[in-house]
Amino acid sequence: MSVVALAALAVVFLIAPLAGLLGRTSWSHLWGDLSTPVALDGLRLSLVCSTWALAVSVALGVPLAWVLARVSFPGRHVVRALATLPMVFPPVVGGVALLLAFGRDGLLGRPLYEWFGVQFTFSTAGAVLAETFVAMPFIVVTVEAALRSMDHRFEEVAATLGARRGTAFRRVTLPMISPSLLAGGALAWARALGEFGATITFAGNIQGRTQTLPLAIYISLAGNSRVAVALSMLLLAVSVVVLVSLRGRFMSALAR
Amino acid sequence: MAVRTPVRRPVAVAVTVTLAVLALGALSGSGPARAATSSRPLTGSITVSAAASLTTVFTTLAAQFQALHHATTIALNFGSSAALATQIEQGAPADVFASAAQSDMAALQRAGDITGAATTFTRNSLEIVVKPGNPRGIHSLAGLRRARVVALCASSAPCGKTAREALFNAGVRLPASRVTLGIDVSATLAQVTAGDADAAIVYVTNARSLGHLGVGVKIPPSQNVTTSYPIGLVAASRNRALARAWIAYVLGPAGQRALRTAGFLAAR
Repeated sequence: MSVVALAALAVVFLIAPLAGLLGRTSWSHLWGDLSTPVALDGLRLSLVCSTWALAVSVALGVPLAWVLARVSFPGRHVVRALATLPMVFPPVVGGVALLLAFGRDGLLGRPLYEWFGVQFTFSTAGAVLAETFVAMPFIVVTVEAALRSMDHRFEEVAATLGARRGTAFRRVTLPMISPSLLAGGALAWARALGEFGATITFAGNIQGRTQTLPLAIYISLAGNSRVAVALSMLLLAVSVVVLVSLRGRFMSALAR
Repeated sequence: MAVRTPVRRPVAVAVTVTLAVLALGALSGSGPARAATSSRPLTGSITVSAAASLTTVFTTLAAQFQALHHATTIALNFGSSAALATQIEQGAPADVFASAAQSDMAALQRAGDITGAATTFTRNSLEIVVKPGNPRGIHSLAGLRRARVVALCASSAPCGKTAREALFNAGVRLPASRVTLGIDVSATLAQVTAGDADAAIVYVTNARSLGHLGVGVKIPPSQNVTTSYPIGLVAASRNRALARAWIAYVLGPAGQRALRTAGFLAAR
């Protein structure tokens, strides 16, 4: 078989599920299905949780990426490997691990609950935690790669000109790595938006609190598959909009 | 429930193919009706789609059955009866359907996806499961109001429908913000045994096999709901002899004994 034929096969393979989804969509019922409480709660929670997950991932992931790229310390490669582990973790395993760490009986969860009454499971914060767990590595990986490929003498020059470390990072480093940060952010956000296994395992499936769109799709598939298909279309549309609007920068940043 | 359109193409195709294969078999004179006769040794494999609440019993029974009939493989597919029915409706290759509710079986029968009558082979009722030591002091359905989070099956699953009926019988309304939904009874139970839910409404048979992971709280008969389990032959089955033999095994003494041991009720 020629290369072109194999490529065509790949395209068919990637497009067929999309076509199936489009074919099964009941367009006349779409608006009604998407304005049910389950759908609206799911959409709202998906947007809220994925945005928070992105914010936390950037707030913690960028400093981690900077340390991994710029500071030499023993065990650095171990930390790097651990930080990217959730990328290859089966999400359900991630959920179980989160339960053992942050559950009411968990390693950190028990003291948090007993001393401060903080409970992550079955809370929106728990859903954010689960999404952040799977999303943050995308920020760390892309930003660290950008920092490594960037000429660090720019930062040194800024320092000799009297800029403090924080100022140099904000005024010099950040603008230079912004395409990568954007690409990593888009990937992290998309991953958080589609997160299912860790969320349902760790945060549960409570409508209006932890039932994000993927969970709502899963639970409605058995009883009302038309609504599940409608919700899938919604999730797909959101993802496509983000992907298309970032396409250029996104691909070039990933190609580095 | 999903709205049914008159024609389901994959199913129609599958039925046509099955009929064609059967017709060819009859024409070529490869044997009389392929009923479960003891003269012919059973061979091949079947897929049994069964309600999640049957996981332990059917796993044991399948091992016993395969030990009796060495040349057979019983592949088990567990899930919510509603989800399994949807899969079969969409043409998933199942040979036998064992549902935890008459309604899911009836929907498939109406669609022509089940051949012949479905037989009720057992029954089950509900029980509350709480954390070991019952820290919230939950002793009834009304006591569930004291739970921060209660795990229920999704309303499409039989355990979800019956749990809501039982709550209705007890006059208990739980706000959605305190209910976490499991896709089937196994996922629902896991929210208590492995997660942080304070209580779950599951089957009596689930409460029997908790070990140290939880405690069962009985629901009085006046509020409890019993569900019947029908078993049927999927019309698209390619190995009807083996499928019929499996159904007979579940309905027979060995199957009934295993069900009773697990806490299931007699079919009546």
